[in-house]
Amino acid sequence: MPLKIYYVDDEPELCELFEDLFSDSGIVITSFNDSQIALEKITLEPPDLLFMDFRMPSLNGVELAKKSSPEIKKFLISGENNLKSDYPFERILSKPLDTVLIREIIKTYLK
Amino acid sequence: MSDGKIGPLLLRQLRKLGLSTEVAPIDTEIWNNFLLKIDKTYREYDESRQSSDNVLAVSLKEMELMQEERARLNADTLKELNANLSLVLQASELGVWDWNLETNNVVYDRRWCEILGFKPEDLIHELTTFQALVNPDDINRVMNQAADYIAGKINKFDVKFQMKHREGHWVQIHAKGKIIKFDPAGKPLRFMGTHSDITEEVRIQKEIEQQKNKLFHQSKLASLGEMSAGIAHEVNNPLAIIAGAAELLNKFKDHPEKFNLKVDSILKSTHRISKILNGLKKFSRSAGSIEMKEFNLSSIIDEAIVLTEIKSSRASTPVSRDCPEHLSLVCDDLSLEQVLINLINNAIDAVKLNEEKWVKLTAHEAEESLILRVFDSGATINQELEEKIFDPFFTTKKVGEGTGLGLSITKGILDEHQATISLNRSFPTTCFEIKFKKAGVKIAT
Repeated sequence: MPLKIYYVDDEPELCELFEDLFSDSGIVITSFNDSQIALEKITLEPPDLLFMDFRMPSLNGVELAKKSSPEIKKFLISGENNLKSDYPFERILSKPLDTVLIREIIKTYLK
Repeated sequence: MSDGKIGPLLLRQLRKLGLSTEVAPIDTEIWNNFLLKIDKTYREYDESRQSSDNVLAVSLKEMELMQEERARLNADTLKELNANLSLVLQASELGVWDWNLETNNVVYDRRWCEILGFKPEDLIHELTTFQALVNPDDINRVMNQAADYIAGKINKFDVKFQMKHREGHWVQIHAKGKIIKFDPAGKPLRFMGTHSDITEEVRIQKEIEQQKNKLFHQSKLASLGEMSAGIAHEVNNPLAIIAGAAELLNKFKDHPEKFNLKVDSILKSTHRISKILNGLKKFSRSAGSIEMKEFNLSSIIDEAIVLTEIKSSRASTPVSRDCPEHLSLVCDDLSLEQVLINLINNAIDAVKLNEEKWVKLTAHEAEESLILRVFDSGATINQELEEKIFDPFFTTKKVGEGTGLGLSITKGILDEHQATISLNRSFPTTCFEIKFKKAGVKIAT
């Protein structure tokens, strides 16, 4: 089973970039630029890893995390500095993305 | 008996009767005694007459004295009144000047001198003294107004200017005056008036002005704050695209199509960042520097829409415009932009909970004016709210979400443009209508 990763960001270009940057053998990345649609998909077919932007219309990153299954490893990505969250994310990452760091994170979950 | 011994009244009486003191009709001794007795009565009579005359004379004199006294009293009363008046004047900080237009001598009263730190005896009471003490920047304006008033070209002498205090600082003066004496030909002879020290008033006014600017700046900062929460994110997103795309360039170097796409998105993102930053830079320009120039209205509207894009896209509320490209307007572009940003931000907030969300700006020419409307999809604002929405610090938003300054500042800015803002209730949804006077509107040809 490949590692299933969802990326949620209201910026379509960033979604595309995320896929381009981190797609690799053994990894399947699906991106969503609407957190509401993402939530439906997450509920139906939960991913292994969930990367999401904080600031999004309708559901923000924290709200999305709270509504998603706690089994999923979640990573919040934020353009804001010093964002604090009461949700226990695996990690809070900042924008622009540190691609090296994200590759390392993904690697640790590859079996 | 010699005439000298007999009084003139009796002598006259005797002469009337054909008698003489010399010729006694009877025994001389008896006659003489008789004459003396009568004379005594006459003298007594005369004395009393004389004294009554004297009484009259005295009373005349007395009346004169009394009149003098009364005049003196009147003068004293006047003096006292004047003293009171000068007290009143002093209390109200009024100094009095009295300008003899023939000699250019000007009497400056105590208070007039005091305002400038002098005593009346310190100054030469001539026009030149005044002219020397007035701020050189003001003197022409003041003397021109005086000349125009004296010449009858204007019907009021009322002017504000600065005068130098003995200690070197400037005192703000408000002068008023009136011609109080004309010669028979109607030529003005005496020009009299007051000086009031309005330094404090001007200072307070300045403070109010500063306060207003501060409020204006605060509201700008508030809108800026509202935007900046999204700005870090908004700048970081294109930055993330640039960083990611740059990294992918290497990966795609053998796929020209994908490679070019990434180069494109780098360029587009760079452009996006600079657009946001430029908007911000302009927006945070210091308050109070209003500069009226002719600007294209649709580009001001576009600029405002760009600066609210972050908020509108986040709220999924499209903001559109419908404005002929050729409309231009004499205005301060940044202030007007501020007005539109406020109105757009408010509109976006107003429709937050609505199913149908949109904001639309339209502009068109009317007969006497240019009309700019900001519509949103929300229901019309009720009458009760309408009365309050332009008051400072009135807000329907939650604490921390709005300063309540937006619309009052908006109104302030529009006042400066001689434009009005109101709610137009003839539409099914909310419509704020701004009316600019046609004088400020120019149609490019």
